[in-house]
Amino acid sequence: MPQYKALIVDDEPLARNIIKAYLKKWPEISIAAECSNGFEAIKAIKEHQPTMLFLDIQMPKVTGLELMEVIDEPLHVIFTTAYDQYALKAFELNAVDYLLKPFNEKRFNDAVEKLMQKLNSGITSNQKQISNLQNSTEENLERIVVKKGNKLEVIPLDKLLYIEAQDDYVMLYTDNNHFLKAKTMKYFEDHLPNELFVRIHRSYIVNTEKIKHLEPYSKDNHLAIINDEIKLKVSRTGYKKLKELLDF
Amino acid sequence: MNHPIVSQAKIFKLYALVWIILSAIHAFTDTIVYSLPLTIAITDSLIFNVLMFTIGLSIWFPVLYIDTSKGRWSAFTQHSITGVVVVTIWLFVGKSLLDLFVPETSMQILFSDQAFTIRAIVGGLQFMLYVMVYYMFIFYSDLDEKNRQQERLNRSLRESELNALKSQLNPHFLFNSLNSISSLTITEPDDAREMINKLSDFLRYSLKKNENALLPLRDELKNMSRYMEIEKVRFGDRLQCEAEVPKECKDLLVPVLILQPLYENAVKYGVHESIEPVTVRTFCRCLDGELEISVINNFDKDAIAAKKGTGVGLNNVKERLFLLYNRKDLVSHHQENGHFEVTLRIPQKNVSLNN
Repeated sequence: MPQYKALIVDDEPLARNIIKAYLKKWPEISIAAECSNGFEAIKAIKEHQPTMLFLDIQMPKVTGLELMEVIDEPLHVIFTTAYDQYALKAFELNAVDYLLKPFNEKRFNDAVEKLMQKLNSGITSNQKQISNLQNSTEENLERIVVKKGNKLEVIPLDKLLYIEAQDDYVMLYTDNNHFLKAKTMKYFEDHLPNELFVRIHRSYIVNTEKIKHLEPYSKDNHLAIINDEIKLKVSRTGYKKLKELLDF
Repeated sequence: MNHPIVSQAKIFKLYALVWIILSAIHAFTDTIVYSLPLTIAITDSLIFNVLMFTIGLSIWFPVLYIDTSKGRWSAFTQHSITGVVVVTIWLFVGKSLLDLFVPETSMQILFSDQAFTIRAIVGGLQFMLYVMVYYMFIFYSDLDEKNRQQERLNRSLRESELNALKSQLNPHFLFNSLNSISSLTITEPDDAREMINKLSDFLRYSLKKNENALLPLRDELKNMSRYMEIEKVRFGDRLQCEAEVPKECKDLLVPVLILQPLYENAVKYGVHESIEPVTVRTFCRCLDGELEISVINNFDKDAIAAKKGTGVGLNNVKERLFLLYNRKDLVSHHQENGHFEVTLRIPQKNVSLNN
């Protein structure tokens, strides 16, 4: 009698088949669904509430790592990929294990065994903790993946107007929408390309290409005008940074 | 070019030392041969040698700028005129200065007809020595520059060889294919065997060929269709292939594996980043003395990686064609309405010779 539900996420059918085949030896695990991309996966997670996720990293539009960032449900993840360079990031995201394709059944069973031990000890991965952990990674973001209700959204950087601090979260604003993300301002300050995005205030990081103009506000402060409704406070140091970057 | 003596402290010190020795010999000769008092001998030696010490440094500039392109005689004449001018100035200025310090009687001894001739000859010899030494400097620095250039060339050649090698064998392609095979062995052993054969043929073709080898387009296309079939096993319906190749093009020669990066990019930026099916189309045309090959794929316009790409693969192709045909205009690409097109033009040497 299966106690645990698993979800297999991989864009290659054959890669999913091999996991399905290996899982046959685990009667306590049933396969709730197979997904070929992140969008399907988000829906399936909501619908089936799986215990574990077998997750490929390189997938169209949304990578497995980006998907991990937006999953709120407590579940355990085993990454499966042909790329070894994401291992560090995967473990920062509290992955149970990282399987390099092609992997044999013994290696797979070890990973599932590890997962079972975690389940039995009652530890589940906690998303909020995760988002603060993964500040060590290097490269700039090219897009930001967010979740709105059950739907996954990909925000390209040129659509992002500004980011506002909200306690432990940030709010991302686009032309006609806004999205909550469990990340810190510091994270975005560090990972957005700094020739485009500037922290103009304790509470704001702005896309400098979206600023129409700046106007004086009080003795030390300015306002960055994005459009008729959006006017963001600019601190004195923020103004200095803008001046340096935009060279006015 | 920097002045070879002034710009290097070590050489300048050596130069000064040589002149101190020459000055000592000069003064010594004055006292022995003409029996002059030591003070007069030293004054004479100092004035003339310090003068040549300074003039000598400036001889560098005529040597550097004299136009040697008009033949030996022209260069020889120009150098001779410069020599006569330099020696004349040296003698005239030296004598005028010496007049201020040395009494008339000693001057007559120092500038007797015989002594004057010797001075002129010594001056001339010194001038020639300068010219020779300066030419030596130029020669060696040219040689150095040439060596460095050769070294740079070798290095870039090695790098492009290495890049070509890397682009031939993308490890992720290999690992993912092996994973597919591993999966097929469980459910479809026949298909697994078939895929192993294709992968082996593909690898054999990639590994045995010399990078500069030219092969008929037929072979290259056959190998590429193996590659695409392997990828099709991985991606299923998400990858479609179409090709339109006129028969007369198939015997034309192309560099081995030149198409590989094109298909690899189509898979990487098309199929990898798209949820919808991607079709890769190949068109060939025989033009006047050239073979034109276009590879077109659709891609997801919203996928950021697809838009950007890295250009490494295409640059590799450009670099290889440049090394082989010495032309930079053989690769072009453009994108329009969610389609990416790369066009290669491969010169056909035997055809162009007939024209």
